[in-house]
Amino acid sequence: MHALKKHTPMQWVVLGLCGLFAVLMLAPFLLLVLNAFKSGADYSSGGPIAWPKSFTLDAFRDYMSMVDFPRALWNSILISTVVAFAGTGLALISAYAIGIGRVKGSAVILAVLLLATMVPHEALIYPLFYGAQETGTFNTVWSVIIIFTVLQAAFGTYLLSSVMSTVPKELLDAAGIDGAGRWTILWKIILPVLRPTLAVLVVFFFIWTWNEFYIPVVLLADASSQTVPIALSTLRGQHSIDITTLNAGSLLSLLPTLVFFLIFQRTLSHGVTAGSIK
Amino acid sequence: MTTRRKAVALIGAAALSLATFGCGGGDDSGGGDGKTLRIVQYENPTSAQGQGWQKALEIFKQKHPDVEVKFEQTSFDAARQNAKITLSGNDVPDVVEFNKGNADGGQLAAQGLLEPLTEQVTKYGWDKKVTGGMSAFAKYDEDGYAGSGDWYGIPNIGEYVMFYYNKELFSKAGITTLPTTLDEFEAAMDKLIAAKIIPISSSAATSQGFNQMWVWYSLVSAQANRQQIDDFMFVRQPVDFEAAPWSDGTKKFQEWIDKGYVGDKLGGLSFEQATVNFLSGKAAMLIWNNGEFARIRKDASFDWDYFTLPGANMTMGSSGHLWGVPAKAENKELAYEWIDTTLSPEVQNEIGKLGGLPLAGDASVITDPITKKFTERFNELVQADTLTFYPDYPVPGFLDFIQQHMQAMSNKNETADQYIDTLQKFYDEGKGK
Repeated sequence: MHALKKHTPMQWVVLGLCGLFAVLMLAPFLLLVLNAFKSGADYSSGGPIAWPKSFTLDAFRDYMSMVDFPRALWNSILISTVVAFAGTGLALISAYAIGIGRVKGSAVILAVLLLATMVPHEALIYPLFYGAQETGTFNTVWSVIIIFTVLQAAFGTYLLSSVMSTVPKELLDAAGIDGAGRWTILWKIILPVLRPTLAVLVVFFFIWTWNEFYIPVVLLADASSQTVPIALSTLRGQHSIDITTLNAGSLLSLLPTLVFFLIFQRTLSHGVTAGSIK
Repeated sequence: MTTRRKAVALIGAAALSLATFGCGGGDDSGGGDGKTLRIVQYENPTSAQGQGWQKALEIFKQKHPDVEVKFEQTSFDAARQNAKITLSGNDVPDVVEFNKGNADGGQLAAQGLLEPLTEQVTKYGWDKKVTGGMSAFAKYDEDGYAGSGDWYGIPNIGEYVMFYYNKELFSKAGITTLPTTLDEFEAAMDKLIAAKIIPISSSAATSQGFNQMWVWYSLVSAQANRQQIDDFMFVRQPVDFEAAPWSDGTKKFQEWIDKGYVGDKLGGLSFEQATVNFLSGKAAMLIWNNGEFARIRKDASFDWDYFTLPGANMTMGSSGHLWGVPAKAENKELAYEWIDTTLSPEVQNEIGKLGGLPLAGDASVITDPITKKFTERFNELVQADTLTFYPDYPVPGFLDFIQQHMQAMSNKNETADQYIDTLQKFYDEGKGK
């Protein structure tokens, strides 16, 4: 009977609260959009919250003239995509060894891997810098790709190996009796089971790598190899900031991750609940 | 089987892309041939200095048609964080822009990452263009202390701190003549407060809220002399912060906070927000340097002008960022030529016309009256040698320390005496000699 009843006042209150919360969550983004389309004079006289007197694309034009955005965008997409897939692939293989296979001291290995993801990047930067120079990858996107593939894979290994340890042993035994080798078990049994989790990892690795700043800013000194966040940072002076241009730039930099998120939204929400129901 | 085929295709594609990009990334410009010049700088390309350098690029390319010039843009923060690491690498630029001060430029010089320029300075006559206090932060001794020793950097421009004011709000509060002494200035601010107008737009967030620090140091500078500032700045003689001008200036600063001359709730504001508060007409004055001159000109919807602190002995200001030549640079001769080009009259006057306060420009070629007056005031201060630099230069970590205490004082959690106490300790421990 309850299901047929019209909405109760309580439900309206909850809905209202949810709506309010959504606006609150979106507020920073709305502010970004609002100020990206203001003129500099408008921003200066009205402040960040005022409604623009007129909408203009000046800020975008300025941003495009100051920064080689297409180049930075391409670099960011290349780095993030390669890292997302290579990192997940590497994590899958190493997690297979640790989570399913019998490796002595696997707990210690996992602890070390977890440590690698927790160490602040500042502590790693000197060895990475000299390593990049010795291998000739300094100032190329490949230094950053290699480093982040390894760093993200370390976290991925930790996560995947604990997920793999929940795969029923009977399933693996049955496959073994049917004559499946280790390679076949990985590809034909583990991979399909883990597919949703892997998809989530790919998305996370993409977004995390996209937003990285410190290591890229050191290793990608040259303008031709800069990523989007670094290009964005060149807009800030010591004693002056061009807020509207910065907002326009941030908005443009956000769009690709937004598009990426929308495309993979389904896999994401799938993946989050993937482990919960067997 | 399709999965496997896909995997093979993927690996193949990855290998292919690796191969193609590997070639692109691996080229080595094999320097030292005098055919390339790599410049790394962080000035906004639309700023006066940025546009002056575009002109310098044209001139340089005309003079050296066979040289390939790479003019690269980075950010102030990135350049500052990475200077040490990039200059110690194999693939260093030929000219870099770097930040002055013991903590930044001084460290680079002391660690041998920058080439001493003293010989070039006399050869090209740069010391005729960069004189007095403007050259202080271009020179560093072997421990990295500014003010003496070899030249390591060459500035192009200068900067000074002023009070921009809103003429309409001034007349609304009944201020008819501009104050010429500190007492008159305070009387004018009393009138503004009586008219319910915030006199000075300020800020004191620990990150980017520099206005209060500038108010404080302007008040110290107002009563200081060259000797006292140089002792503090270049760590020459012990500084007694309990004595003038430090204690008096700091007490005056507290008085200003208590009287509401700088507004309230400053702890979370940044300089950008302080600028907006001035431009939107919420406050009558803004303390800032020439960094916002062009913006105020463009964006202010009211009649405005500016003055330096009335009745002050000395004024905050210094030379700009520096050109340096990395010790490992491969085309040093071209680098010197480039620095000389940026100091040439054509480039300097271009910077001057755009309001960039050039060190070797000629104010008489500036046609715009506001820019001309603004430049002439700067030249006066340089000639009188009364610029006091920025207070955070002498000791590493000083900026964060001062900012923290500026915030505490602005929130009225700390008194002038308490601040002076900790300041004395921090300075004495940090100065290292």
